[in-house]
Amino acid sequence: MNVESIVKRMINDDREAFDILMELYYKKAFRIAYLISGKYADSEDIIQDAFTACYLNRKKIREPEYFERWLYRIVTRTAWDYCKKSKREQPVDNIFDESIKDDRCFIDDIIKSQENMELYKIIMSLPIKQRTVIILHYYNDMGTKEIASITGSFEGTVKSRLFAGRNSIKKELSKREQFCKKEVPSN
Amino acid sequence: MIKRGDIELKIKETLNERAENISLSNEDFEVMRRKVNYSINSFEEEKNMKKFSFKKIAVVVGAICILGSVTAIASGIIAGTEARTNIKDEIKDYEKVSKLEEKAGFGFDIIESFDNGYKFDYAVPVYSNNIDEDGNKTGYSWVDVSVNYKNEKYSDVSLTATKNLYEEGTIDENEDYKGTVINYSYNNYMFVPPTYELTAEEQALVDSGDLVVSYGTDEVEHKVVENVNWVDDNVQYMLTTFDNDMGKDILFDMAKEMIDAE
Repeated sequence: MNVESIVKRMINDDREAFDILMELYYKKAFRIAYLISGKYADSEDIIQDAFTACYLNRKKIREPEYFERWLYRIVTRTAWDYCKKSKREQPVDNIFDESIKDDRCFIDDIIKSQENMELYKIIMSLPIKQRTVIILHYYNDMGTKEIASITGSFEGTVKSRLFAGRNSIKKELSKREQFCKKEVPSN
Repeated sequence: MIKRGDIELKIKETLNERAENISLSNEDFEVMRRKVNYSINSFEEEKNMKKFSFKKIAVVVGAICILGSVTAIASGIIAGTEARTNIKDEIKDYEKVSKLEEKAGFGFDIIESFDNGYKFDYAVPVYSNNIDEDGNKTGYSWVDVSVNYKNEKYSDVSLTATKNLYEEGTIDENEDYKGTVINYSYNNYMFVPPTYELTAEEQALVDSGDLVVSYGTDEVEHKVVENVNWVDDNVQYMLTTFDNDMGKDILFDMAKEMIDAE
């Protein structure tokens, strides 16, 4: 399927082409919105607004071959707006339905999925722009140049945020590892 | 000590697990698709309504204001009328114009072409309501029918059919034709953007009745507007034209052709 030609059709007001693009990118775009916002319900609204904006601004697309990047830019900015509105800079306590016991030993007791849950909690506690860079790099496999284009930043800024985000995660993981080691009695 | 490579793998694994665990069905997609298309349609409908043939709508509004007050209503003092059309309602086939009778709620008679060369171009319903001094709708709304006629030699002529009968306002000339009185008016119109403020001179002209101001265009434009109107079978008909060189006699002749055809 030639996405570029479908995008060109959409630019020329072809609604059927737009429907095809929505179907192609719906799941991936939704997941990005979810990872950034941390909330399923907000993600539905984010995606709806993002696709609407995508069609209404279709005449602004200069490079149809980079449509995906353009779409994710809209999704990212819309997700940021939603997070700002609901003040979800620190959504840590609201993410999960099950309760997380902070004093549990990270290495010894938690199974794989719970380890991931803890790590996700740490990622979600990062400032939103750092978190976005982490998500676009590690989930979407994007390079720093591409991320810069999507987030509207300089590449240097993206690199800094990636570095700072990774460091914060590492520091937090080490803290928890140290905490567990202290709590386990040596025999 | 946690190695960088380990961290990166863990981050990737965590985000993938979190994202891929979200279940998104075809039904979820269809719901979203419908909502998106609905939003787009609503936005575009709003855009079409504001832009379509604003000047002609304004003249209908202006003609209403010139012709006088409408039936008083309970909720406020009537300060004016606003009217709008939607390009999607446009009917290009003369044979299908009768469909507008249902939308308008009344029957009307129009002709396809005049002896002077004016031919049917399109017809649309015009949605109107009164507004008070604060620009709020006052609860009284109605639907008129507007038909555009084209001529190779002269400016377009717009015919409006309305059930909303108005008291007579400024009339420059009239003629009794087979028992039907045809009124003619000639006005200087100024079309202005919504936030335009009149100068003292312009306000004086408005106050003296020498200028009619209509709000809502992108730029300021001056037009001479001529109008003939008559009532037949409780429907008021108005033929309106802008900056037309043809002269008022031709407008009178067109009115007579319509009266003869009814």
